[in-house]
This record gives sequence, C-alpha cells and structure tokens, in this order.
Amino acid sequence: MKPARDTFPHRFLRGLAAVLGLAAPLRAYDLIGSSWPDGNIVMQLQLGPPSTALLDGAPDWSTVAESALNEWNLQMARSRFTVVRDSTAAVARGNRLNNVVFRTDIYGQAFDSRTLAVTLGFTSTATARATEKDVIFNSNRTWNSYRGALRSTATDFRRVALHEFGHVLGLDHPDQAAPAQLVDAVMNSTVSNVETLRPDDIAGAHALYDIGGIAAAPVIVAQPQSRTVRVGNSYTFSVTVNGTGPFTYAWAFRAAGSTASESFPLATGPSYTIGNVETADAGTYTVTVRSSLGTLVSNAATLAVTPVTSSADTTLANISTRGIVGGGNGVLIAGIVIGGTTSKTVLVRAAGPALTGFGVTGALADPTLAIVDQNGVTLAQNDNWESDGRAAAIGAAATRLGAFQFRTGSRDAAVLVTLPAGSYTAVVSGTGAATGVALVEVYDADPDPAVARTRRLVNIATRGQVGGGDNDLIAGLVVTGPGPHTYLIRAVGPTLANAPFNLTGVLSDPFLQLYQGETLLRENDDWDTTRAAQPALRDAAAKVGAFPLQVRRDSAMIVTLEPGNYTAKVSGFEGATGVALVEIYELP
Amino acid sequence: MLLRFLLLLAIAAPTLRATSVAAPTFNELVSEAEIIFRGRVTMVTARRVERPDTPGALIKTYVTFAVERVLRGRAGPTITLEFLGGTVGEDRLEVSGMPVFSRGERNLVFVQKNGVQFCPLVAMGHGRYRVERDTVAARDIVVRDNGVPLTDPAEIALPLTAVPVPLRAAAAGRALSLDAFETRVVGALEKIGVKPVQD
Repeated sequence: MKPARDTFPHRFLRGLAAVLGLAAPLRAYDLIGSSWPDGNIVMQLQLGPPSTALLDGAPDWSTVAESALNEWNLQMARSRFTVVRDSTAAVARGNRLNNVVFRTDIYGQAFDSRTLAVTLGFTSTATARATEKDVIFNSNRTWNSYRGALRSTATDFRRVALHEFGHVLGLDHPDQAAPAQLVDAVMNSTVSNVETLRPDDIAGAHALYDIGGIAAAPVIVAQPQSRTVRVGNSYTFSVTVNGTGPFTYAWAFRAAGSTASESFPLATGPSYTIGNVETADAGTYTVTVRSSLGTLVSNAATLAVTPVTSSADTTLANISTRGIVGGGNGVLIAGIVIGGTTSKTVLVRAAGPALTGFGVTGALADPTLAIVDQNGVTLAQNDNWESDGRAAAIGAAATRLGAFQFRTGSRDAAVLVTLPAGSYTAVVSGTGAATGVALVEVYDADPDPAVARTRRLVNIATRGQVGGGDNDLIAGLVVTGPGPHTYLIRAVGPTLANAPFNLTGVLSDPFLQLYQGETLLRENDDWDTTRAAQPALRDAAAKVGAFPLQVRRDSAMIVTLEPGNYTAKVSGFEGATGVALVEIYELP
Repeated sequence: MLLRFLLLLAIAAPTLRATSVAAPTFNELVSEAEIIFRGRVTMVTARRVERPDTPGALIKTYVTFAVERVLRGRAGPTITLEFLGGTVGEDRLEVSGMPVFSRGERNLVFVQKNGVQFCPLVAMGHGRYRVERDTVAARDIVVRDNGVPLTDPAEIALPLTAVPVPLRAAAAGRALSLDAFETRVVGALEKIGVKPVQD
C-alpha cells in the first residue's frame, strides 16, 4: 500500500511530537536547589499597615500574607509556614530570620523601577538546606490586594506574595528553567491572572516537602553547579535528590565543542570529583538519577578550565617504583631516562629490609641492584649499600635529598653514580630464589639545582607483577621547582601481550590511580575514557617517544602537578593480576 | 503556517508584567539602558561584600566582558557588571530570576545603573540576549534569557512563556540575526534622538 503523502503539517506535528518527546521532563516545576529542613519555617511579617483600604476586604498586609502562606501549607507535610505577625525582629541579611518587608531598597542595593519584589535566599551548598529567605516588596510601587484580573492602578500583593513564598520554599521560575517549561503556574516569572496555586506549583511543593510518606519519584533539589577551575585543581560536581530511594546515579560528560556525550562507568555516586583537572576535562556534566519510581536527568553543569603555564624549571627530583621481585616473576626492572646532553649524578637505591619499617609485609630480604645501559653493559652494581666503601657518600646524599636512611648493617642496596644522558635500567633481584616486595628509587643527586634543571630525570618505567590484594605496582614521583609541570603517567598491561613485546601473563585490565598522600587525585581504567582526552594522550606519547597504546584497557593520564610528592598506583581492575608496566614521563 | 499562527496567538496575548520585573517593550528596553554593548564573558567571580549602612554580608557576582561593540553609552575594552547573589565557598545567595552568565558566552546587554541596582540590566533577564551560532545557516542569532530564540523585537514585551518551547527548534530557523537585532537597536536609538556609538 502506498503510504500517505508526508505533507508539511504532518511533518511539522511529528517534529513537534519528537521535540516534545525528547524534551519531555519528568516534571515541569523548577527548583532553586535548596529546601528547608523538617519543621516550621517561621516568617517574620513586618509589613506595617496599608495606607489605603484593601480591595479584598483584608484588614492588613499580614492577613493577606498569612493567607498566601496557608495556601502553600496545604501542600506540605514535613515542613510548614508559621508566622510572627507585626514582628519587631531586626531586618537584616544573614541573621537567620525570614524577614517579610516593604523596603525602598534591597539591603543597600537599589530596586529598579520594574522590580516588584525580590526573595533573597541564603543557603549552605554543603547541605542544600536554606538558612534564611528574606522577601522584600518594592515600596516604591503602588500595592493593593484584590482578586480577579490584573489592574493597571495597583499591583496585587497576594499573588506576588504567593509567588515569592514559593521561592522561599525552593521553587524557581519554570519558564526560565533550562530547558524552559511551558506550564500554567503561579511560579512563572510573569504575573498574570493566575492567582492561586496550579497543579504544577503543587507538584513542586509535594516534591520538596513530601506529603504523608507517599512514595515519591526522584526530584533533584540541588543541581550540579558550573565552575571555572584552574588546571591542576580539583572540583566536585554533586547532586541532591529528594524522593523515595534507593537511587542510582550515572554521570555523563560532553566535551567542549563535542556533540556526543559519554558516560563515566566509575562515577555512580551522588557526587563526582575531578581531581587534578586538565584541559580535556572542560565540558558539560550531567547525572542521571534513577529509582523504581522514575528517572530524571540533572541540568548540565559546565566545567571551564583555565590553563596554567608548565614551569620549565620544575624537575623530577625523585622517581621510584615498588613491586614484587622473584617467585617466577623475575627481577624488578626500572627504566630510567636522563635528558639533556651531559652527565647526571643519580642515587639509585633498592630497598627491601628497610620497607618493614614502613609496615610493608613480605619485603625482599636481600635485594641486589645493577645499573645497565642500553647495550646491556652493567655500569654499577651493589648488594649491600655499605659494602662498596661508599656508605658515607650514599648516606650524605640520602640526607641531602631527604631520602629515608638505610639502617647500618642492613641488606638494602644503593649506588651513587654519574651517568651520561641516555636510557638505563635499574635491575633489582633477590638472592637465589628469594621473593618479596622491593622499592627501587632514583634520586636526582646533582648538588646544584641549576645543573639539575639542565640535566633532567625525565622518565621512569617499571615492569612488575601486579599480584592482587596489597601487591600493587606503585610508582612515586617527587616534583620540585617553582611551579607546576605536566606529566604523562601510564599503566600498560594488554598492549604488552602484542608485538613487539609479546609478553605472557600480562595484566589484562590495569587500573591507574594517582595519589598525593592519602588523597586520590585522579584515576583511570581505560585510556580511551574520555574520548576528549585521547588526542592529547596520543600527542604526549609521541612527544616523549613512548610506544603507542594498542588496547583500550590500558590506562593513561596527563596530569599537571604542583611541586610535591605523588604516588601512582597500578592495580588490576576487579582483582585482575599479571605483569604490568608503569611509566612516568616528564612532558616538554 | 502553523508556526506563524501560534506566534500570532502568543503576540496577541495581553501584555503582562513579570512578578519580579515588569517586562519592557523593545523601545523601553533601548531607551532605559544607559549602556548597550555586545561582549564576550571573560570572567565570572563571586565575593562577599559589606556595606556600612546595613548589617551582615551580601554576596555579589562580578561578570567581566571583553567588549566587542558599544551601541550606546561609554564602555572601555572591558566592563564588569555587578549582580546581587552568587556562591562563595559553601554559602549561596539566591536571587530568583537573576540572569546567570558563563565564561565564553557572547551577549548583547542593556545596562542600567551598574553598581547601584541589585541587577545592572534593564528588567533583569529582559536586558540580556545571548548570541548563539546557527551553524546550519552560518549566522549569529540572539536568544532570550531562557534560551528561546528571539524572532521579533516585539516579543521582548511578552512573558517568557509566550513562545512555546517545542517551537524552539523551528524558531531557530527564523530567529533574528545578531546583525538585524543590532540594526533595530540602532534604529530605536535614533528615534529617541540618541546618536548611536560608531564602530
């Protein structure tokens, strides 16, 4: 059968329906983002007597205001308005009293001629609870109280009060929401012949001050907030939801300039923290909240990112890696790259017994350390740090560099060596078949900071076993200098199974987390999340000569770090185990 | 035809006044503005302010624009507007209906008593028009404070609900271009004897 002709009105109506369907909100009323805790909301009515008889017969402004408040009270369960008539309380901002007044100004700020009334809401964003709402009616205007159509001679106090008290409760203008809602409501930003609460207003009050324990669909009472954040700082988006739980949360991101959103599989709570913000984090963030009674999507909050200049004088003073030695996993191998064109003095240590003093169990009892160049030539080696007659120099260097001291007579290993610019490996092994956890550290030991800046430690890469439990692969870096610098950190597993590495037993799904002290700054499971970050990651790897990641399950991040101590931890996602490579590169 | 019919219905509605503000006509908007300029938002900051004549602290949001074009009044290369309300730390001062600006967005704004009034725009959101790019038609258009494209200056006097939201997508195609809107502003200024600022 030939289909009906697709005429313009049909197409238009279908388009309308599609737009309506796409934009159809769970509700139409709009919320400011805060509400009152359970209990009474005490309004200090300080309106004075009317200068002329009120057209609706009310004896005074307080009576009119109270009737508007009571209209809202009919729709509230957990909180309700009460009044102090003819209150003599101080009229002030920030005094936790809800003043309802006529004034010629707004606490020193002038009204303009077109403003009828303003509600000032004081709220703690930490709790999303209101602490004070002052309603100020513009006494420069002519007021009365009447029912029916609007009059040009006087503004109807009651309907304006009804509207402003809706703001006190936490309702906003639906017609100014994003996206704007087309509903019949006293809470619309335009006064009209609507003079009583409409179903949409009532639904908003029910959502905020639920009626009688009736199961309620989720309502966002505090939306994620937009913010401009400097690179390297952190920001937390959060959402506060009322209704009958439990709720699930799914955060999504749309990069600046992109038309596609992507979800964050790990962001499943009411807040989402972006630690150590980078430019690729700029964009809009939304959260989808679900319960058995409904689903809704928050307003989009924009994260704008202010770039910083990476300091050329900031260097890596120390890089280290903790991993497992032996037991079939062989040695712990740390790759080191010294940049520039001239030699650099480095202190390289392999700590085993010393780790027990830090609460590490299963430490390697007797590590040995060898420094090997690109041709496989061993340039320096050591078994016990005092055995080569350089104990005094090593101890002094450790003291100067702030390294923890090896105990006299301990079997920890160390070398103090001057190396030409180039790539080296520090190989840590155990005696015989011994196994255990070891820490390999490389310190920039150039005594002159000016020299240190020109001959830099630019990379450490360590291959080791990620064993599950506490046996994570951990890389430390100490950033020193006058300002922030940018680094590429990667945790490679599945790519190592491919050519040219062809390793077996690799960690199938590395999970990379960056800490400063106990604070988690940033984490990444799969390096292709987010898509917006991929070009920068590829570009950074190319700049420093790092091999391309071939598998999306490898992890990587670019971070701009202020001077300080940081730890990158590689674990197996959902308990995976295997061999992984952790790498830290200084970006030019 | 249907779109035009709906718009006509909206325009035929009686002139209403905002609860927070009384909406101006286009000519009132132009005549009541001391400064009219187009600019890009370069910075949005909020801080507490104290006034000696009233107790307690208020929060104000300062929105800085890089000025692209001045149509009325005087403005340097940058101008900072002061809005009552904002967030500092965990404290937020909410003023319902106050326009919210984001860094990077372009606006045509109608300024009145900046630093004196609680909102330095004529009739709050009625004094702010975002400039958005219509990528299909490769032109800049102006949208009202609630994101609905402005198709005719006469709509300024209408409530924000006057243009049905589902028509936004359709309206975008016939939205007033930035050039056309600015030309209308210049024309309105000339009618009231104000010589527009030359580029």
